[in-house]
Amino acid sequence: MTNIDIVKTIIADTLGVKREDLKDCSKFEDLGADSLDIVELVLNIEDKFNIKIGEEEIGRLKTVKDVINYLNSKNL
Amino acid sequence: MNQDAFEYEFIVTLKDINMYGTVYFSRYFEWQGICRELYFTTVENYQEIFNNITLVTKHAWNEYKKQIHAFDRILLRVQNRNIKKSSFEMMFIYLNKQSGEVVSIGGETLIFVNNKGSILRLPEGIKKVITNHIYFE
Repeated sequence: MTNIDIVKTIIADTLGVKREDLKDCSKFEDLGADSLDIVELVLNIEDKFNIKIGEEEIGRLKTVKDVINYLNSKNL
Repeated sequence: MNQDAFEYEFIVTLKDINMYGTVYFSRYFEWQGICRELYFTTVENYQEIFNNITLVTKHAWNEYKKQIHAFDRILLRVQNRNIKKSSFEMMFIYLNKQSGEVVSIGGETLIFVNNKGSILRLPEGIKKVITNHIYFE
């Protein structure tokens, strides 16, 4: 599984949306996520990749692509 | 005490009812609050935990199923569901102790924030207690 696949699966499971409906540019807000959903999403990503995402960085993660780019920037 | 739930017993008194004998709807939320507070005292080192974090209610609801009256003895049972990494729903099941009937059910989605207002992971001590009391439909 690629990081994109893993991230999309986590997003779909956390936000309760269909995986096939997720596009790279999909905004979490548009998928119905509130601030608690975003935190839950970040915690699930942290646990899956064994990383800690800083509070400032969380604010910049608004789309699927943002998460992928973030993981790439950490060489994950 | 029943092991699968935290329990709190109380008697409905005259201050809980209006002139028609109906319990004020808001009293149920007060009972939830009292019970929730007592429940958290069962968490190991709860004072230390709550020195550093704040409990926030994200969502609260209550469904009224049967009328209760002054001097009814109520058993309020607490269990939990939807336990996630940063939130959970605390369920409140009100039983009329004499009849054994469920008279009301309520719930609260709870989160914890730090002094900057950021949502935190559920503290381990709290997770340990709430996972002992799971609500099944």
